Amino acid sequence: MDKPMDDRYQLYINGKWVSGGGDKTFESFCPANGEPLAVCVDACQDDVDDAVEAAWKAWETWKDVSPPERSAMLLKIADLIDQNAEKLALVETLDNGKPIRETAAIDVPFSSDHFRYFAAAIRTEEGQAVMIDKNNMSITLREPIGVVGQIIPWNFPLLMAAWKIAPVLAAGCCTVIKPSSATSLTLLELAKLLDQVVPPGVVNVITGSGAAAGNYMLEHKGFRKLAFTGSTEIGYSIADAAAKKLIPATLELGGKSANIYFPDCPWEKAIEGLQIGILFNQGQVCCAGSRVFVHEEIYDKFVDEAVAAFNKVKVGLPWEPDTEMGSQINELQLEKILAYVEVGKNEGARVVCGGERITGDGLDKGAFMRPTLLVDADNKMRVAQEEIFGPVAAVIKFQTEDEVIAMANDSEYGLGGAVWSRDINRAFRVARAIETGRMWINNYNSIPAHSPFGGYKKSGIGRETHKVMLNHYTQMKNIFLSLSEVKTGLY
Amino acid sequence: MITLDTKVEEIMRIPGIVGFCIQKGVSLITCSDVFPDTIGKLLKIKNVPDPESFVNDLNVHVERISAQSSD
Repeated sequence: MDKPMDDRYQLYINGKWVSGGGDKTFESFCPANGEPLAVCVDACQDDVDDAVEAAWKAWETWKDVSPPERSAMLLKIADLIDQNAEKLALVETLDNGKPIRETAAIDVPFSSDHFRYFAAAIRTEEGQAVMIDKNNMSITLREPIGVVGQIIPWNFPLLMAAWKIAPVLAAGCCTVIKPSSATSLTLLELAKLLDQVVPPGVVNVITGSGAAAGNYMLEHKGFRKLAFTGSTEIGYSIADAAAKKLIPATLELGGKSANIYFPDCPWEKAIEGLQIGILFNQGQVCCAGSRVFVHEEIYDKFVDEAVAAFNKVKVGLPWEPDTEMGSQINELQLEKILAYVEVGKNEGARVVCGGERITGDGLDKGAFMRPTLLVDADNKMRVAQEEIFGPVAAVIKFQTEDEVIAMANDSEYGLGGAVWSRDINRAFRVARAIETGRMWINNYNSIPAHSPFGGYKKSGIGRETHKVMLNHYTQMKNIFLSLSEVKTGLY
Repeated sequence: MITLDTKVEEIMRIPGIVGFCIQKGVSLITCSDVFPDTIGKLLKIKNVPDPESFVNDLNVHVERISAQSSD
């Protein structure tokens, strides 16, 4: 296999590739075999300063680029992503460890679709004009907020970059964006494509650790908004940094989502939905269906068939086309997941499949794990309350609709969730009753560009995807006109 | 010696520390990166009732690891 990425990447600031002001670098490794992939720059404070300065300079003209022109650029970016789809999919697979069948079918095409969606959405922006009375008119417009700071996680590096950059460009903002240091490469590859379309300084890519580059971004006074996808723990720091500067922050954070099965669920699709919910992306998904509630009437049969299905999943080297589950992001993440399995066992849950790492057959150097079900779990257990971020689901039995709603809502999170039932009235009732930003009915983990995604409670503030994002990156301008030539007579 | 002011990044170098902390109710790693601040700040966010005691336990763990590796 030819290596699809460069040996070394620089920072992308003001439309140029620069080595940065510091001398620190870090290496990106393939989680599946430990091979070094590329050397990246660990950005210093001066680099963040340069990027923010470049973004503001670019914004002077970028904010006035017309929506049709911005739309055309977004479409060009989408086309370039598609033209480079094979390469981007392979880079993502090598850098992240996720299967090539997922990067090729989901991460990359969903990314280009995101740019196309916002290319269309920006053309529909119209503002409002209202005649308050015969002589007074109120005009409401949306104006770009300015330069934003964006930080994205390692679980969907390219797709999260698209979720962040597409609405920013559509809204007329400029950005300084930082990927996780674990997975910088597809954003850097995307920057090469953006460079062919977008004026210098509109998008700037800073790489480095959260403790250095990430914190420099949080401390920087030059941002008008922060946008973050990642853990709830770091979400607190982002919210704190935004509050200190009195700027808005969009936060898409963690979850412990309920996947609820009633006896009349569409059976085969439901079992597959369980797998999509917790095994997709190795379970490293913020809205993963990690709490599985199964009605007592079908519990035993459901568990038996789920175990059989989980045991059939092909865990393997992520670049092999028949691999269904690849490597966890790194050894530390695997250590965390396995520790949670032990926590679950100590709490009284039973491991009925998986629960261990996989070695042999070329997998010794990666962080591979078997799909895992912890049954006879209780909603109060830590494995049912804390985000594990791996292919591990806690299975909990329930008896009534009210009981399962209460248990599903007994969580500090509220990001995703699903209900499986052919009774549409019940499915809709449950979906409405669960305190979460996204409920799927008879499907799981569908994330199209034109449905809003985000959390209730500690799962976040604001939304990602959907044209509502244009509101997050713009602010409201009201122009109030008096059409009368006559004095008010007040003075 | 780990204190409340020790950066989580530095603690991550200790073998087995991630699993040890999960057993004690705290995750040092996230889907962004390693928690980018001090262990004290993380324990505060996680509402750990006695952070000093948590850090003491971490130091005991480090001593045990060191003793094992020198055996």
